[in-house]
Amino acid sequence: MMTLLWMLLFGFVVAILLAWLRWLRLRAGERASRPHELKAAHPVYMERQFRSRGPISIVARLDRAYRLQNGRIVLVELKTRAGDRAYPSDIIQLSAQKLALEGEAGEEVESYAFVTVLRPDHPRRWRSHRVTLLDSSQLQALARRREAVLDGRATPTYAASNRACAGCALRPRCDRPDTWVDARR
Amino acid sequence: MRKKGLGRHAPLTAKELAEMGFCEKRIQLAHLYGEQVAPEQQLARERGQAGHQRYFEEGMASAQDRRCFVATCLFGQSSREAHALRTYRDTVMLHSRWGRCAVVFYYRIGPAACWILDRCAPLRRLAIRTVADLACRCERAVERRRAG
Repeated sequence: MMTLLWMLLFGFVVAILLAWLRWLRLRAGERASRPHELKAAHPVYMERQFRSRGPISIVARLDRAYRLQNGRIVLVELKTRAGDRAYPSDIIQLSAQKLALEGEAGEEVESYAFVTVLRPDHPRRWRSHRVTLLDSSQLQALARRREAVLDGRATPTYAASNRACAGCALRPRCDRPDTWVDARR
Repeated sequence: MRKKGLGRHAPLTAKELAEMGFCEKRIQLAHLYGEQVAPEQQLARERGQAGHQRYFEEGMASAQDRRCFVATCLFGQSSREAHALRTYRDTVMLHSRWGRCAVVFYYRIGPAACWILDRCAPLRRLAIRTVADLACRCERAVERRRAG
């Protein structure tokens, strides 16, 4: 009986030790994934959903938000993909997150944010890209345009590159020619 | 047809709006024919979810206020239970040597306990009942201490 109790106790201690080591490794991972500019900041929101009920009703789930020493918040969005850069869609997503966070929590959010890219072939190497966010009026204009596109009042634009269309499941229904080149490029 | 946006009942999600920066035609087609996902996109989504889970766990491990880790994980950061336990820690536990030792020990095992509770639903239900009861007792203890 005593042997069994000792074994249970030993097992419990080992489990706690392993869990603690895992926690240390996770914490080190968070430090490594931080953009250099946020070394002195501390994480405040993780995987939290916010909702803004202003001129546009937006729901946004933010990956991570850091509080700077001046009390302001900086948003970070994680992207797992091969392309090591920030795309316009990332900027729009982060801008919507800013609007939702300001609207619900009343936080003061910086007008810049970071897109942290984790490449599938390098799962422990993060690259952060600083981006400037859109303001509220630009987001409103974008939401209006989206509505116009859905209602058929505006002609939609196509993806910026042919490569982006390659993996699109709706490509067979799309009228974009294969040789089409966007003027935005 | 699904309609979202200005003046509509359902709020627009940040991801839906972000698609405007990628391909407007895709948004229109998805609206007309329904969302369709290619196998490669599904694979990328799963990879993204795994990456986000890891990113979340790392963030939680590094969060500044780990002191009510379990209560925060079970009830939320601004819950009454988490507040009661924090108050008990500050007003009772930190005033004794053994209490401080217990707090330090809890700092060490709290995140691990939370990690386990996130993955084990029966244990989580049991923990919710136990911690809620503990929080009530702590609240009463703090009130008694303040009254006396």
